[in-house]
Amino acid sequence: MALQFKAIVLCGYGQKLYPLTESTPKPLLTVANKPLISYVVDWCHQSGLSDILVLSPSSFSNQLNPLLRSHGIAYETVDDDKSANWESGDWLRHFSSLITTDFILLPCDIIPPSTLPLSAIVQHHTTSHYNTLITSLCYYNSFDFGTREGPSPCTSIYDKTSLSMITPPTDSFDGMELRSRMLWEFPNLTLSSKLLDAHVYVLRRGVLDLLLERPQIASIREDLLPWLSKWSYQSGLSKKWNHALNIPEDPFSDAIKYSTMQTYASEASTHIPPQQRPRVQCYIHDPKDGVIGRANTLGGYAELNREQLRQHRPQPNVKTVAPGSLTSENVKVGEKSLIKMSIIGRNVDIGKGCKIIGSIIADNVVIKDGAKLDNCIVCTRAKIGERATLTLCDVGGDSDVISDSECCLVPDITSLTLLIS
Amino acid sequence: MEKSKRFNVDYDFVDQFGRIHIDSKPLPTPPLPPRPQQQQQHIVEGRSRPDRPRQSEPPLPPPRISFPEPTFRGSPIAQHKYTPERAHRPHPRHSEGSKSATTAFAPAKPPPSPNKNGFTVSPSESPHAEQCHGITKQAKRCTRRVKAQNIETLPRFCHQHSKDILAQKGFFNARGTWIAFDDWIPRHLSSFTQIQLRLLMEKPIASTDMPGYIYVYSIRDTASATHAEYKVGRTNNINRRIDNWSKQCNRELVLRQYFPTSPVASSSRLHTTFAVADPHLKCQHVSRLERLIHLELAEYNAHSAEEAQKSDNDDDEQGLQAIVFADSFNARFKPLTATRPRCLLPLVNVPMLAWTLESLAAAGIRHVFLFTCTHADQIKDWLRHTHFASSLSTLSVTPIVSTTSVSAGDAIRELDAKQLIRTDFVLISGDVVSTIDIQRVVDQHKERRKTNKDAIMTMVTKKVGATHRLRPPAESPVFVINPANQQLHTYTTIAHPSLSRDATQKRVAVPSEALEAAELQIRNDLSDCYIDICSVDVLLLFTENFDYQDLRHDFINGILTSDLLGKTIHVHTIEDEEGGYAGRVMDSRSYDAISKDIISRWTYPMVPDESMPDADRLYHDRGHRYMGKEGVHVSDTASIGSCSVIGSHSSIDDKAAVNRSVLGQSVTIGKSTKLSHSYVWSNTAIGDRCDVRESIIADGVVIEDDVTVSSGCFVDQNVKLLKGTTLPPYTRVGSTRWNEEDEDEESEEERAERVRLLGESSTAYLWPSDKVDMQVDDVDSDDEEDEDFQLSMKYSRIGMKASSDTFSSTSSLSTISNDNSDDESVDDGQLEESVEGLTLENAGKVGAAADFAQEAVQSLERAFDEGHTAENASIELKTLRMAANVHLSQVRKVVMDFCLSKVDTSKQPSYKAVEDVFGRWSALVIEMTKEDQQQTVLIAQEYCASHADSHENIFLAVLRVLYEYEIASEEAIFGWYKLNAAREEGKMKTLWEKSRRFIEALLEADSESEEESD
Repeated sequence: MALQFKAIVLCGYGQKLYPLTESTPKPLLTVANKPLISYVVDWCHQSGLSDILVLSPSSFSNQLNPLLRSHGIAYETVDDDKSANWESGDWLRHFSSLITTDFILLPCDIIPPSTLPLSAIVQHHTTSHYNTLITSLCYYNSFDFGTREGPSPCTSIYDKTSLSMITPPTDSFDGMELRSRMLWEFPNLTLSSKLLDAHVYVLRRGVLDLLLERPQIASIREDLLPWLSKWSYQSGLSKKWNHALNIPEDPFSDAIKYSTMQTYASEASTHIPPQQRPRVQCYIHDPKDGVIGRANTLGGYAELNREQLRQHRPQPNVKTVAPGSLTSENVKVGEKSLIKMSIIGRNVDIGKGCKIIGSIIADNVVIKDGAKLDNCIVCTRAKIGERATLTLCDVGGDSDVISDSECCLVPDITSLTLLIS
Repeated sequence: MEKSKRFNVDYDFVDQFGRIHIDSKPLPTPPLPPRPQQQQQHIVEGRSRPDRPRQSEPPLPPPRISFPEPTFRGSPIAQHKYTPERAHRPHPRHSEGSKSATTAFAPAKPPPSPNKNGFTVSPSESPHAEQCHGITKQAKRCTRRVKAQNIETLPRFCHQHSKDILAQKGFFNARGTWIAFDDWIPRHLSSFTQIQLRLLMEKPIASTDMPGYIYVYSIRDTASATHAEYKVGRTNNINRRIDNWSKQCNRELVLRQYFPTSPVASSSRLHTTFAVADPHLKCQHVSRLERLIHLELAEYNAHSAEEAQKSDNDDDEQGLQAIVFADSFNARFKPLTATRPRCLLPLVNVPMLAWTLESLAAAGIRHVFLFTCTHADQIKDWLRHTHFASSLSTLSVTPIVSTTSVSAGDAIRELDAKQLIRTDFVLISGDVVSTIDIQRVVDQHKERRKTNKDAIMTMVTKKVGATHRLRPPAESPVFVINPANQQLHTYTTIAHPSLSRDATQKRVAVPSEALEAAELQIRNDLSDCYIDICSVDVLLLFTENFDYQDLRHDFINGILTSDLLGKTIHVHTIEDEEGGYAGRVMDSRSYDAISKDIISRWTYPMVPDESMPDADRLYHDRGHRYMGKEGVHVSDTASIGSCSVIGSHSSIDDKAAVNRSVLGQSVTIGKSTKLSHSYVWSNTAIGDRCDVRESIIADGVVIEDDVTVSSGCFVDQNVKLLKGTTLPPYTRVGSTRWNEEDEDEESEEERAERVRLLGESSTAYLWPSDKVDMQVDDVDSDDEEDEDFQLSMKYSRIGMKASSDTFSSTSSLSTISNDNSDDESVDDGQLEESVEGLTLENAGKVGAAADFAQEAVQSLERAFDEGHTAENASIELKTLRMAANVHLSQVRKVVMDFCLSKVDTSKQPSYKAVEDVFGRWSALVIEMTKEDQQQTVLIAQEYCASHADSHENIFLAVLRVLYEYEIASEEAIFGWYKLNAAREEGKMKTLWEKSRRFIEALLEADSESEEESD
C-alpha cells in the first residue's frame, strides 16, 4: 500500500557528533559503511513511501546531492547563514508550500529495526484516534554508551491506555509538579524516565498551518509537542487554536448528538470532552522487537555501528583478514595486522603490525605500521602515524595523528589538535 | 530401607523430648539406631576416664530393637534387627546391610561446646551467615563466612574445613581402639550431619553421663493422616518414666520402643508389657547416646526446616489479626451519632460494623480487636447479641475500650502500649464494606517483607475511575506509585475542578527521589479502601511520633517525606479484572454511594438478601427491589422504584412513591408521599403528602402530613416533625440540643430560628451544620486549611453533587483564563514557560509570586472598596507576603502599581487626583516601600511610562505627592534621577526629562532651606 504521506528528512549539523562532522556532513556519516541517510530513505521505501523530501543547509549539497539524485529524491537547501539557528519548526515553515498532504518528519540519523516498518507508525496514527494531530515515535534506549556521550535523560508522561502523550520527553528535572487538572482528564498516568524521543513524527497538514500562525514555535520537539499535548487537558487551548487546524468535523459527533444514550448532550456544547479534543499520540516501541538507535551523539553513533556489526556479522568460517569485522572494498591490510570487531571503510590502508580492536574506521583512512587503535572512531582521510596508540579516541576527518603518540580518552582529535608523544 | 525415606523432625525443648514428625507417605524408617551409641560407649568411656575401671559390658541379653507395627496403619515402621554379638563391639556398618537408622536430638540450647580443636563455639552473630569454626594452618580462626542453618548453635565449617574433617578415616578411642567413622556414620547423610556426628563421637564423655534408657513414643495427629510425632527421650528409670507419661500426658501416646530391652518384652506387641523392664539392663552414657540420636535425626529435620518455618507462618496466618476502629473520630453524622456509635448506624438496614466484621470473616481473619471510644457499652452489647459472639463464629472479637483517644493516632498509640499485637495485622475502619481477598494482599505484604524489611505497610486501593461516587470529590486521593515494586512515593488529595476555582491550581509534586525509578504511575482513579496491612513497626512509629493523628495525612505523608525513617509504604491496587469491592462510609455522601453499591449488588456476595445472618430477611426482586419477607404492605397504587429496600412490617399507602430509597423495618409511608434517594431507618412513620429527598431519617421519627425534607437533611431519632414543616437543604434536626453542656440557655436567635423552621410546639432542635462538622474534625487544622476543609465538608454531605453544568462551565471558564495567561507568556516569546505540566520547583515559586500579586491586588481592592484603614491593609499585605514568601520589591511594585492604577487621571488638577489616592493610603505605601524609596520612584516612573496615554501627564504630580507625603525623600528622588534605568530610551526618557523641572525646584528649595538654616 502506497502511503499518502510525504516524508521529510531534516539534516542538521550534528553538533554533538563533533569531531566526526568536521569534514563529513551528518547524513553522510557511515554506519557499517552505509551513509546514515540511506537507512532513513530505505525505511521509507520499505513502506512504499516514495515522496521524500530532504532538507539541509546548502553546505551539504556538494556531497549530499549526488547521492540523493542517484536515488531520485527531492532535495532542497537553505543558505547556511540563514539557517544557522533554525530548528525543525523553522525548516517546515520555510518549505510549507512544498507540503500539501499529511506528512512524516524524520531525522537523518535514525536507524530503525527491520521489525518496525514505518507504515506501522503511520497506521497507528491514522487509526488510533480521530483527533490525533501528531504521532511521535518513542523508544527505550538499549545501549550502554560507556564513556561516550549518549542522549540526555528525559522524563515523559503518557496515558498507557490511550497512548496519549501528556508531556513529551523533556530533559529531566530534580522534581516535578503535575497539574491537578491533568489528573482529572487522565486519571492513570505513567511517568517514564527511560523513554526517548526518536524524532519521528507523523503530522497532520493542519499542524503546519498552526506553525505558520505561531512563528514563536521553533522546535517541534521542544516547543510544538509540549504545547500541543497540553490541548488534551486544557480545553481552552484547543478552542482557541482549533480553527487553524481545519480539522473536518467528526462524522460521528453528529450522530452522537442525536443518540438517545447521550445523557450529557447539553454539556457537550460548552465542554469538549477529552476524547474529542485534539491530542498527541505516542507510539512506544518495545525494545524486545529490535533496537532503535539514533546517531545524534558520539555514543549513539559508536553503538549503532556495533549494533549493525552484530547484525551483519560475517560468517565465522569465512577466512578474512579481519575476523568479526566488516570491511569494505579496496582495503589494504599489512602483514601481522590484527583487526577485530571493527568496521573498516573503503580504500583504507592499514600498515604492518597494526592492532585495531572495536573501532570504526571511515573511508580513505591511512593507518601506518604498528598503530594500535582500541575502541576508536576515525573519520575520513585521517592519518594515524606509526606506532600511535589510541584508546577510546575519536579522530576527526583530515586530521593527522603523528607517530608514536599515545592517547587515551581524548574525545575529539581534529586536525588542529597537536599530539606529542 | 531406602535412603529416600525420611523423617521430619521438630523439637520440643521444654520437656527435653524430640518430637519427630514423620511423613508417612514413604514408609518411615525406624528412628532408633542401636549401634552408634554402643560404639560410643566404648569410645567415650576409654577416653574420658582412662583411670576408671572398665565397666562391665551389659552382660545380659543383647538389646534387640524392633518396632512393633503401628496400629494405625498396617505397615511396619521399623524393621531393624539387632543381633546379640554386635552389641559387644563396634561393627562395620556395611556388614549390617541396613542404613535405616536415624536419630534425632533435642538438646535444650546446647551450651557453647568445644570442637575438636578445643575452640569454644560462640553463638552465631547473624542469622544468615556465620564464621567458619575451622582453624587455619596459621592457627587462626578461619575467616570464611558460612551460611547458617536455622537449627541451633552448632559449629559450622567452610567447604575447605569440611573437607578436612571428612577426610579423616577414624580415631583411636580412649582405650586405644581404632574407630572407623565409616562403620558408624551412614554416608548418605549430609556432610554437615556427618561432621557433627564425628565431632561428637570424638569428644570426651562427661562424668555426669549416667547409664539409662532411651525410649520412643509416637503421637498420632488425629487431624492428619500423613503426620506423626515421635518423642525420643532418655531416662535412668524406664519404668517410672513410662508410668509418669501414661499418667500425666493428656495426649494419645503409644510407646514404640525403649532401649535396651529384654528380648521377651520386645517380642510382645502389647505396650503395657514394656513396663516390665529389666532394671539391670542399662545403656552406658545415655546422654551422649541421646544426643547422637538427635543429631542424626536432625538431618531429616534439616530437610524440613523450611517446611517447619512455613508451618510457623501458617500458624501466623491462622491467627491473622485485624484492628477495627469503631470510631471515626469525626462528627460528620451528628446528630445521628449523638446517642449511639457511628459504626452501629444501619447501612441498608444492617449496622455498618456488621458489614465490616462480615467482610473480615469472609476474608479469613480470625481475630479482631475492636477499638471503641464512644458508646463502648452499646457496641459491646450489640456484639453479645450477634452471631460473632457464638462459638460457631470463625471470627473472635475482642473489644478494647479507650475513653481518652480522640484520633486514630491516639488509638494506635494506646494499642501499642497494650502490646496486644505481635505480628502483621490488618488495620481497618469499622465502616468498611469489602469483598476483597485480604489474605492475598497479606501474603504479598509478607513476601515483600522478606526482601525489604522497611516495607511497613500495604494500602489497599481499588481502581474505580476518576469521578466514581466512592471517591470524595473534594479530597480525591492521588497516588504516585512505582509499578515495579508498588512503592508509594506521593500521597495527596486534590479537589475536582468543578468544586472550586482554587482547587485547579493545586499541583501534585513528584519528588526527585521517585524519578529515579524507570516508571511511575500517577493515579487519580483509585479509591482508598481504608484497609491497611501493617507490620508491628507501624504501632511503634505512631508511638515515636506522637503528633501523628490522622492515618492518611499525618502518617502516610510523615513516612513518605521522612528521610530519616527510611520506611516504605506500598499500594496494592485491585484492578478491574481482579474483582472485589471495598468502600468506606466516611460521610453521608459515601453512605449514599455505598448503600447504592450494595443494593446494585456490586458487593456480592455481601448483599441485603444474603449472608447477613442477623439482618432482616429480604426477597430480591426484579430491578434490585428488596422486600421484607414478613408483613410488608404495599398499596396497589403505590409505586416502588428500582433499587429500593423495604424492610419487614413496613407499609406504604396509596399513591406513595418510593424511589431509590431504603426503608427499615416497621416504617409507614402515608398517602401520596414521595421518597427519593432517602434512607429511613426503623420504626419511623411518615405522614401523607410528604416529600423527602436525599436525606437520612433515623429511627422512631414521626413526620406528620405535608412535610418537606429537602436534600441533605439528617433527622435524629425520635424527632417529631410537625405538620407542614419545611426543612431547607442540609438541615440537621436533633432530639437534643447541640452543645448542651456549653450553653445554659438557648439564645433568642436560635430559638426564633427553631420556631420558624420546626414550629412553636416542636421539641426538636436545630443543629448548625457547619459548626457540627468543625467540632471534632479540625483538631489541629490551620486557618489556611479551613477553606479546603469546608469545601470537603460541603461535598461530603449526602445530596451534594458536583452538578454537571457547574462542572462544565467553571472548568471551561477557568481553563480559558488559565490558557490566556499561558498564551500571553507564549506570545512574549517565553516558550519555556508554556511547558505547563512540567515545572521546575522554582517555577512553582514564580507561580507563588504570581499568586501573591493576584491576592495582594484583591486584598487592596477590598481595602479600597470597603474603606479599611491603611494600617489594617498593610498588616494584611504583610501577612500575605509572609505566606507567599516573596521579596519586598515585589510587594512594593504591587502596591505602587495598584495605587497608580487607582488614580483618576481624568480628574483635574492631576495633583489633586494623585493626592486623593496617595494621601489616603500614604501610611500603607510608606510602610510597604520604605526600604528602597529610590526604587519606589522608579516603579512609579515605569508604571507611568507603560501606561503613557493615561499616566504620562500625571507623573510630575506623582513625584510631588511622593515627596510631600514623605513616601520618597529628597535623597531618594535625587538618587533616582541619577539612575541609568530612569534614563532609558523611549517613554522613560521623556518622563525623566519632564521631571527635570521638579528636580530643579527641589534643589532650589533645598538651597533655600539651607540658607535659612544658615
